[in-house]
Amino acid sequence: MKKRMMAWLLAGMMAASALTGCGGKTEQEPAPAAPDAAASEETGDGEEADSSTAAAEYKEEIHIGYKIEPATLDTMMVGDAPARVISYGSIYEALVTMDADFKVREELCESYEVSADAKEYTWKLRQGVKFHNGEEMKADDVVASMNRWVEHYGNAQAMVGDSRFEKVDDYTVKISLENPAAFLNELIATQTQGSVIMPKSVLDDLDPETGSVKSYVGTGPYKFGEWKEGSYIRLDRYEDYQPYGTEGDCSGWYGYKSQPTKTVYYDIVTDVATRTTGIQTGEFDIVYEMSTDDYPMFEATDGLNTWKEMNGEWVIVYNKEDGLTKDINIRQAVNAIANPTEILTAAHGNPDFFRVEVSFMPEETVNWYTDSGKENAHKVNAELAEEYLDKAGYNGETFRILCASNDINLSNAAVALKAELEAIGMTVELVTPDWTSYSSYRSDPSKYDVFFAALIPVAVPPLQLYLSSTWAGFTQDQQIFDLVAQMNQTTDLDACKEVWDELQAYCWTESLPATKLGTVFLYGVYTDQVENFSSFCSGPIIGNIAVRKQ
Amino acid sequence: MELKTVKEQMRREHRQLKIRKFIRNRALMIGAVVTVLMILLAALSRGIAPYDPLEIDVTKRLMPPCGAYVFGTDTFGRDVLSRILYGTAISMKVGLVVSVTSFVIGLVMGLYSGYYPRLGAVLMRLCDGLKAIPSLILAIALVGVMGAGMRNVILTLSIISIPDIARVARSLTLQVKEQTYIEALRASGAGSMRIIWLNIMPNVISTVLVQVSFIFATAVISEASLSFLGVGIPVPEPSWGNIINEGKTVIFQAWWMVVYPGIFIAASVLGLNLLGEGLRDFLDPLTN
Amino acid sequence: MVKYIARKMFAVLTVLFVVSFVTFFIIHLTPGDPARVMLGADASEEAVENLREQMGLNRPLPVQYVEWLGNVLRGNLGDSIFMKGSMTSIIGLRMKPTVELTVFALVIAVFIAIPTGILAARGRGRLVDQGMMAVSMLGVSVPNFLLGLLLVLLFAVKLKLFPASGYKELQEAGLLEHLRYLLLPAVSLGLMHAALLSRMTRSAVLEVLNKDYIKMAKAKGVRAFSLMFRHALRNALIPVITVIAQSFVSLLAGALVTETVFNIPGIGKLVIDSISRRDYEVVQAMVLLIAVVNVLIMFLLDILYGIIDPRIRSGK
Repeated sequence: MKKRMMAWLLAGMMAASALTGCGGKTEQEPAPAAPDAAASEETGDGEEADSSTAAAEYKEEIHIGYKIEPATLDTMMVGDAPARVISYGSIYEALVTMDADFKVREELCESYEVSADAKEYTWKLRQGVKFHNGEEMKADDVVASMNRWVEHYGNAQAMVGDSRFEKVDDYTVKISLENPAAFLNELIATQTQGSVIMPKSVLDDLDPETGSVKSYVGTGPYKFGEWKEGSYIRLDRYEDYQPYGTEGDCSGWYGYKSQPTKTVYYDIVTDVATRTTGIQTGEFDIVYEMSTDDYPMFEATDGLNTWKEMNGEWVIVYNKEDGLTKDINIRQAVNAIANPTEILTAAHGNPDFFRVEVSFMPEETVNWYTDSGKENAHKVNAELAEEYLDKAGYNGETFRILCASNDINLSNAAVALKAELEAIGMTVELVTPDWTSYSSYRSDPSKYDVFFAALIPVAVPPLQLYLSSTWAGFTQDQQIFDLVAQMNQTTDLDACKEVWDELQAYCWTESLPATKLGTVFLYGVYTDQVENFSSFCSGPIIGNIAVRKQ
Repeated sequence: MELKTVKEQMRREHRQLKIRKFIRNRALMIGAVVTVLMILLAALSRGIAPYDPLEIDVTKRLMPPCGAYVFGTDTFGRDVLSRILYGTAISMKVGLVVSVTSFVIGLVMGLYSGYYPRLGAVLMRLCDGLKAIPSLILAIALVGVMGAGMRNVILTLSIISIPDIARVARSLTLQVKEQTYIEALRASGAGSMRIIWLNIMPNVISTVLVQVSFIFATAVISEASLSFLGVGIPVPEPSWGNIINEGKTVIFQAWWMVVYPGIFIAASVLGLNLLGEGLRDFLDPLTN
Repeated sequence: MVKYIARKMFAVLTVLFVVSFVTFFIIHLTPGDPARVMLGADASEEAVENLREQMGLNRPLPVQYVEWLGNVLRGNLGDSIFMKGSMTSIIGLRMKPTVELTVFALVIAVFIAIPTGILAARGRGRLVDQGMMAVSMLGVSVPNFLLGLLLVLLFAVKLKLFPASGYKELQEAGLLEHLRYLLLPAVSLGLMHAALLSRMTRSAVLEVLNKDYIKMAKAKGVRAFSLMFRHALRNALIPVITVIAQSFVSLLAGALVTETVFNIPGIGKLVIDSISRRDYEVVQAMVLLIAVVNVLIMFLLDILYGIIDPRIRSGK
């Protein structure tokens, strides 16, 4: 299922996407929405400095060619990137958000306070903010939304335990925790699973069958317009929008939205060839996720600009509950032979679009970047691998790699790993159900030994899925759990980082819940007519983008 | 003595006539040659493929056709020619097994449902039901249940093809059954087993065989289509369909990944269709 | 006659029952479920299990089947899990591009097939005939998706005359743009059927030409042109129309691959997408619908034949 198969590949959540993007690799990248450029089409500075009747020169519509049709825009229910990319920052806003430096900033709250022991959080809400349905946003809405978020999001539950958000007065919300949680605001800000604020009235009236909302209502600069299945999702400018911050100050998701464009279309175009011709013919103004093999072509085309951003982290996840990989020596053998460069080349083609990396947290998350444990990482050593196989008493048993048949990147990686394992004498079988079966199979320990995952980067290391016992792969190492718990309770960053160093080293050398291969990037293309283009975590900041008429 | 030689002579002439008819039947000739060639390629693919079709060398990605790689290389740097040759083996295997299975089961089903109308009514309703679902949708769904892989593709395509054979065999059986000599046999107390297999079957089988050659062709197309849609032969195993599917994603760079396997598909299906067409003419006593 | 129709009706109903049964169980037995799809691959098993329970997917399959069948018999085709709106509006919306594509393809097929079929029949055994039949044989042998991709390679990638894929609505893009997007897929779909149809036309015309009354007319000195169009073609029309009607059904179903290749949001793509995200009721409704159309056409043809030829009514 093409639509959903790229779900993970898409989003750089916490990721330092925009930063890497500009990091010298993309020549044609203009400055990302610089603070003073944000409202240029209205104030008239920038390229068309002389035009005071700016509105007339801009298109009413913007068309974004997007790869995946989300299952729903109820982003609180799903952790899928497409739902977030289309709805967050446009339809919805959250208590706090993230700027381009990945710092937590106020969005729907005026200010927040965290107690010294990280057990009590208080948010003061902005007043006079109106939902698209005309209601004013108040503490009741925030409490209802945030608690629904906790219900649906395992990571949030793990962090807050049995505690829930409470109303203090109409414009104040707090939560009191039993255990310290140093990263709660980060978790809210990263939007891995939408922590957005919806009206209580909408949340009280859910679809009884699926439990999702019946209408998409938020406080953001654009309201939900129309969803034409298989074709497009249309967003319309919300005239009563209450911008925050100061005009022109915009960074990452944070900042003032001037809404220059009236209507925004996310055109669902699953086929990359169609997006390619569509941006060339001007049918789209912006396209996402282009084929890495086409990159040089776009680079050479006049009138088109490219930008590159971080997309996900590739790991080999081992099944630790059942199968051959239950034995640490088999995991060590695979870890010793797996060649990250070859696998990532197979999966992503052009080497400009991936970076082999030892650190579980990508380079962009400066605080957490570490190479501890590197002595056992990416060795690509056949002798060592065979030694481990001997130790495990491996005798030609079938080793199963799970991948999704219609996800070309995942299956290409699996094909590459298969060849490497066969070279050291293993019998390897690919298990290739379709995407939907694949995601179910991952939760079934009897179905596989390893699978590839392209994971959404996370805000803080303890949120890495493969460290959790409930996620696919079923990590069962108490030592890992203890270290994770210790990190969650450590409010001092340096102390916390030390624990993380220890944990990552332990993972690489002794436990091997997964083998990190590297970080991958995607790129997109936009035309010269697009002004104030900025993209953050795999999605455009549509609140400030304007398109000149030709 | 004299009668015997006359008979002998007649038989010989008849045989010569048949051979001449075979040679004159251009469709049959071409079809047979192409089919045999394809099966030979399939059988010898291991020997004649210049490279290992699974060997990855990412430094040689997407090389256009050249001396070393006659049909170019794919996104992994694998040799497209070798992959196509191995794909031939898979396509032919799928086609052969599907046609044999559906021939045997379909023939039995058709004969018996033609001979026993009540059984026929039930079985034909089942067949009608299966045929009312577009075959590709049915195939996608069945492969979904059983999981991708060659065995399941074969099973799926057999399930879809059996009704076609059964229908033809049944309608022929119905016709033959009405013939007076069958009635006579029945009246003289011959067992139904005997009548079905010794008297009806020989009259039915040639037409059914023609149908089987079309089933072969359809199976090749269906396997390619399923693999093209990503639900047939799973990667990295090469098949014509999945080579084209991979080629589709790089169609702006690598036309060779679509065109060459395409030629093989078209040629083999054309061969099989000609074979069937020719066979039909050949077995038809009216065309002489 | 009434008895004959009643018998055929019964047959139709049993066929539809088989279809509903087969479809339901196949799609429900496929591993993976819509709850998982909805929540995403990284959602916890617990959350998925809760949603599954909420959606009623944990009840025994036979119970779900009976309930669904009951709803269908009452005219309720069910709801999509992923799409809003009633089933009829969903299908209606997706039917539009498919019907446009199919009709366009059929027009192309008929315009190519009828003249070539007649030409081939007239020149039976001669070079025209053999040439045409060879070409049509090739047409039947090239799978739809391959033809589509080759057209894309030639007209979109190399010549850049047409878009590689996509679909533009008539109201939004105008007729010209609409057809520009539809042309390559329609040609790739239409050519194969042109090949089939042309063979049918040829043999139907030949059959009629061999009939005694035509020979008679010929002997009487009716001119060849008038012979072909006033006598032969009119009589050959019935089998040809039958084939066109059947073509339409198989075109509808065959549009599936073409829609995938050209990324057209029609019912073929809807079925594939719905299968892959296990949108059970959409798959069931779609397959049932196609089967109904299929079976109804056969039914009508049966009745028609029954009226034309009384022997069929009583016979087997």
